Amino acid sequence: MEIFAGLLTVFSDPWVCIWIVAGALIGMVVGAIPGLTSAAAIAMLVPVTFYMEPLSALAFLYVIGKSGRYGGSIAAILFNTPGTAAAAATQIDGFPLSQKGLSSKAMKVATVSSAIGDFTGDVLLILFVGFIARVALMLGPPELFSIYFAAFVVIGSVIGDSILRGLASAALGIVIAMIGLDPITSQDRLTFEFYQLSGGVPLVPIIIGMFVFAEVFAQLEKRDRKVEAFHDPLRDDKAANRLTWAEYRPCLPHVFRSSFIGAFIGMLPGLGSSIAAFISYGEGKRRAANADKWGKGALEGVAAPEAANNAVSGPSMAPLLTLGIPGSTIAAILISVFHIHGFQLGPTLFLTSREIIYSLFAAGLVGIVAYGIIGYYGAAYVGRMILKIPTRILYPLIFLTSFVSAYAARGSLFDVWIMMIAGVAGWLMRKHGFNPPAFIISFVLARGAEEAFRQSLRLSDDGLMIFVQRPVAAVFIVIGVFVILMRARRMSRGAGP
Amino acid sequence: MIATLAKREALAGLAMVAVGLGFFAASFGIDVREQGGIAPRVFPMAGALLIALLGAVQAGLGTASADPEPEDQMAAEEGDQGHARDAWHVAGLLALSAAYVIGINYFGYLVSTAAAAPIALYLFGVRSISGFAVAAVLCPAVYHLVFFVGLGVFPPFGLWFDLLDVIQGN
Repeated sequence: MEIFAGLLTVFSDPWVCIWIVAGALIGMVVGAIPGLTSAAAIAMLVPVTFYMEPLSALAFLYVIGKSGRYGGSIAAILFNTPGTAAAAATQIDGFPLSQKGLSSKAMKVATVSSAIGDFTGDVLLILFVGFIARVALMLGPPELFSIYFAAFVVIGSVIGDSILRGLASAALGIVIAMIGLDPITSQDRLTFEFYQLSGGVPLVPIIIGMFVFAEVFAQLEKRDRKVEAFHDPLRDDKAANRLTWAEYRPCLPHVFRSSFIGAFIGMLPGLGSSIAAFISYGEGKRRAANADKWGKGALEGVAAPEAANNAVSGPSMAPLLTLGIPGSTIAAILISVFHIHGFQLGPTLFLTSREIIYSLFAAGLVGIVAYGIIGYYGAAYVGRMILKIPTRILYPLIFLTSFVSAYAARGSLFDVWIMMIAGVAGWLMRKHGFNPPAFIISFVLARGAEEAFRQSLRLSDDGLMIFVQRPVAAVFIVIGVFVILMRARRMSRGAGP
Repeated sequence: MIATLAKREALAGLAMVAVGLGFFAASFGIDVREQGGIAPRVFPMAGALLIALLGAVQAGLGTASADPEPEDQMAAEEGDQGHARDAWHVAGLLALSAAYVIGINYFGYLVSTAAAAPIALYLFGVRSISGFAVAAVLCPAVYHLVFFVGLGVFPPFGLWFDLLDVIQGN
């Protein structure tokens, strides 16, 4: 019932509605620009939202995240370049459709499938998040630490191609998060005599550096590369691009299956949209009656990964809201927004701030409708607009924006230096196959994990054995070890380090 | 090509070892005499040690597969020329970034942004004089209006000179 009250709250405030529509539009455009991601847009906009009402701020960024996941499909279909990693699965069938002059039809399938997947994920989140929060309330520090441990391992070893560099990125995130005052003894740790670091390394400049500033460097390296010419989607035959029910009906089983796959994967920290999209694509192709057409321009091949990609969005909020563990990069960024507006993430959030949480879910549902409508009728125009934006003007502007955004978060030039260092580090990490999302998520998790670890040791009579004696804790430790062993086994079979 | 990749793997591994050992050594500076016992050191040390260990494995795997072949060396040299040009661009942007922040500190936001905007455009390949002029005027004005007027963020004032002081008549 709370969701209906949430919807009422959203519709009764015109500003929230305006921010939701703005978020849908910004997310779609940013997601569609190759190289930029919704995480980068959110990182740049986080300082702006510090000055907004809590619900408007959260709804705006949450909807950018949703719409950005969908927006990646526009670039994948039109430019053969996925706007997001997850959209690479959409590209397999999306671009061949575009080559046949059916880009608008492919984008309509992507829009409808994304909206259905996103809606399914959100409904599952709304139905089950309260239950997860009640379970989370029963967990003590040992169980929490073991969940953190499993999350670190999954994030470090599953995201990206290299288990070694993934885990190293996660470990670096942990070490950097330790800079600042010790939470229990209040002594300085790893501050290297910089008094500004006593409060810890701020999250917002790190995120802006890793996702925005680093991308500017990456784009600068590509500036001399030849730009491929793509046809204008608005020049396609309009009659041939009309999507009929008969054409979309065969996509529905794939959309529903993929939605549930995406929703399940979304709940697991760190796995994210791209894994969901590729699993759904593979599963869809395996079950399809027309499997021979997949990869050559099948509408179902667009529908399946898009539904899964967006179904991740809602459920990825579940570990964040109930345990304070971000399931994705966007969720990690949202933590700073929750904190700045005075919300303490974790199971007690559902006792103290139930209204805002369900209003946020309602905003997510309204956001799906917003990007669904804008995307269905306007994706071709968005694609055309992106074709006309020269990157040689766009990226210098993003470069300047990253400085002022990093400064605006706390009004500190020291934060701008941190943003720069993080940016260069992020660019180098990406260049050498390391994993910035694993770094960021671990950075966010590390303090909570350390607190749970030290509290557990204080509770324990047998030191580290407490993590084995408590059954729930033991299960999550075993999951973590199992994931490492499985990845190491795959690695030894030739997948590379 | 394989040899080049393996060399990069080994170098990345050595960099990880250096970063890990650096933080590991710095962790010894954390005081353990207070009531927390060794606990304040556990996470920083464990994280640093993990980075160093993973780096050592990475370097070992890279070194084991590095077996230079003549063709690889030629391909690497050709690639190096392209990378050298990219490296100059990147170094230019990096220098601009540092100069921009130092400029904000001493000359305020408006003047520094007016100087940085055309240079950033130049680095990305824009060669239009009128484009530079428009950027030098519009960028500081728009960012100032959005962030410092619209959002009410307190602007970073220059230690030596600030155009905002002149505009406001201070």
